[in-house]
Amino acid sequence: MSRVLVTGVGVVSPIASGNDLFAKALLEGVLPRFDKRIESVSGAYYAAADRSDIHRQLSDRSLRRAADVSKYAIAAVKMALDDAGMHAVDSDNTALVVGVTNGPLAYTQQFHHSIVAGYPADASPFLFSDSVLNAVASNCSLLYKIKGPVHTLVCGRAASLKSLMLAVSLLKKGEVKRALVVASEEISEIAFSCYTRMGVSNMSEGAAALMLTVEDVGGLNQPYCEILSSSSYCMPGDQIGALDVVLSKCFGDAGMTSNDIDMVLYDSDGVLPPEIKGAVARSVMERTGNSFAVNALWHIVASCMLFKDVKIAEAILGHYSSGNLKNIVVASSENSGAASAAVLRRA
Amino acid sequence: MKRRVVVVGIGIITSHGVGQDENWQKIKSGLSSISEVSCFDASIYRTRFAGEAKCFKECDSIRNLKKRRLDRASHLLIDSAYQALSHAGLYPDMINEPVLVSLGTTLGGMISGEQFHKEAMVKSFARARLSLLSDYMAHNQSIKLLAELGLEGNFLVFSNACASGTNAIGHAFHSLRAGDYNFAICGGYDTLSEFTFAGFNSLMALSPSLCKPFDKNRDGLVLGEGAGILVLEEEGHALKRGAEILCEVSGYGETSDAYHITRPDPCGTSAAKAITKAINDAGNPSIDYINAHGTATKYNDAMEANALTIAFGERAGDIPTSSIKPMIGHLLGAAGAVEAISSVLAIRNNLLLPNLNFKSPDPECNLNIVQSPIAADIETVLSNSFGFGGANASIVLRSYR
Repeated sequence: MSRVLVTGVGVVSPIASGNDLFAKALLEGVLPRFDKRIESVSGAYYAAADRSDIHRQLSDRSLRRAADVSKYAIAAVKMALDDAGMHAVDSDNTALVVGVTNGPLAYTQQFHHSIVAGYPADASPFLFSDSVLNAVASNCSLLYKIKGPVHTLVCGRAASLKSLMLAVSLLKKGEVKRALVVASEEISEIAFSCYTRMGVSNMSEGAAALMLTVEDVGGLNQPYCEILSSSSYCMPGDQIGALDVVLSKCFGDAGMTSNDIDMVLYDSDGVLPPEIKGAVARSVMERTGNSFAVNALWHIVASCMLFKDVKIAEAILGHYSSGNLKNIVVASSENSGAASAAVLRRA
Repeated sequence: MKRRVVVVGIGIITSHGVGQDENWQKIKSGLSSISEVSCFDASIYRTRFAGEAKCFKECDSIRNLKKRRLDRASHLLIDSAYQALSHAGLYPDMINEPVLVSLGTTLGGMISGEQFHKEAMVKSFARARLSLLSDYMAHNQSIKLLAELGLEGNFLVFSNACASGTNAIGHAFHSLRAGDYNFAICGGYDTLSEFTFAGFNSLMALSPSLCKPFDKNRDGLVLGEGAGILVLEEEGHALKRGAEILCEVSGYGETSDAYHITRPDPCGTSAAKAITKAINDAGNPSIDYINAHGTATKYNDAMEANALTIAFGERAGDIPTSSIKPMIGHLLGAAGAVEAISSVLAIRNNLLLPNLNFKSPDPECNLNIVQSPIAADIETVLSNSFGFGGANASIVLRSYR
């Protein structure tokens, strides 16, 4: 069976938007600026997406009405397509799978506000159509003419890794030859207020996109890495148990053990099972902030950059002396008991 | 040789009632359960009518969760799941291996979200009760379902607008066929919320009169709420434990229009591809009945007729076709699941389902519309779902042999 390769990436983040700028920011140890606030949420700040370089990806007039969460995704997809050397999408043979946690909540809030305030007849239909959970996927598929399977998965923080799994499954079944995996989040008043009250900190917004291609398609730019295996599991209330299961499955499917892993990048509130021994474990969230479903894809993008330039590994870890960075695990879990992971191998 | 995937249990809640018996009695009688909305003031909108599941208050079977902390969506989902598992002979003796939970929803726990937002507007965000949001996010219902049932496994929540339920079933079917799991609990759910009502109203998509799919004078859709859950099982596994097999899921296809954020591509080309993919996936059987998406909007029905004509050629005008949405409304994320269940029942009972309110054929929709329930030999059914953003999904179900 053909390998599934990551042939392009795109990133919109608080520290930089654009692949080269993101890599440079990681290398230079740039930290996100938690300097944005929302008036109704006192004492809390978030890190906004760096929009300085994304305007040229957003020139289409139809995007004026789109929520920020869609705009970030569209920009990230454009970067991934450019990175993969693709000037046009093979419409019928490309899938798009988008993972979201919160979706276009700002528009949902605005639309609902007009209902509650007593003037529902004045509510803009654009707010409604761009507030549905699949608005991000719809806008991306419209703009880039993607006519293969287009899905939105709403699965909490693990949405992007589950999206990756679904995309890999579509590729391996031969449904499509290429698949875009995207995650995007925006900060809205309602989400920021609630998460702050729940004790969630260091929130940020942004997006990431991966272009996955089956190896036998040919004509590929130098791929970053191979998706060796992926897994997702839920043991309600047992975060460690679920992580154990997904990691065991990932290692088993990849024909490796935990000793073969060079690095773990995780978004798990610091929770990792003890079997990850000897592998260096980090999160890049101290660089990117916490953007829920996007975290895991930021980790995969960072992994791709680590594979290309080991100095980035040194910058993230403080010290990394080995040039043999071959296998990285990206893991995500929540205290609800949901966990997901993927194993990446340098191409 | 591909593994075969069979339906061993179904659970359903709609405005017709709770459970397959109550729903089937009304479906086969060609009754409508569309009534005046009671859960919010709909007098300011184009219509006051919807398929509200007034018969359903909450799930009485819940044992392991706090009922009052659950959104109505979870109640609908859990009750339907218990029905389906009981029907499959899997409750109270539960499945003791990992399962796949594959669900579709457009709103998740939106009613809780609305309550929270209303409270926040009166009291402030800092003082509105956070507990109202414990079941708001669209993935929470799946986790709560696993927790209530005492099960483990993977879960996926598809939110592809009106195609969500069919996407969820199709994905579960392909996963079981690939050998990933032996069991899947799949389907869809959505509640009737003012947010959605106002949304479709703002798009001028709601009918001010009746839901009349494929009728020349159709003028929009009627919303509804409910849940539909199917338990799918790998055939050999089901036979080994002596399960009653209701029918077989034999094909699934999906595409996207990439045309407009809300309107379908009128040509129906991509939708036709989804239909063709599903039929090819099923081994090219002859289709005996089409359970149409049939929302009764001008755009959808014309597009669907075009898609069926592309997929079937001249035969499109012969195959009996109907939409059950006039009876129970458009259930959004639950629509594909509830319509799949009605297709299962049509196969089991050899009965073509009626397309109510069809009086004046539309020459642009040259289909063989079933106007009243008719006995017929039904071996294979095609069920379509088409959603906002251009999501197209089709599934093929057939009598088990």
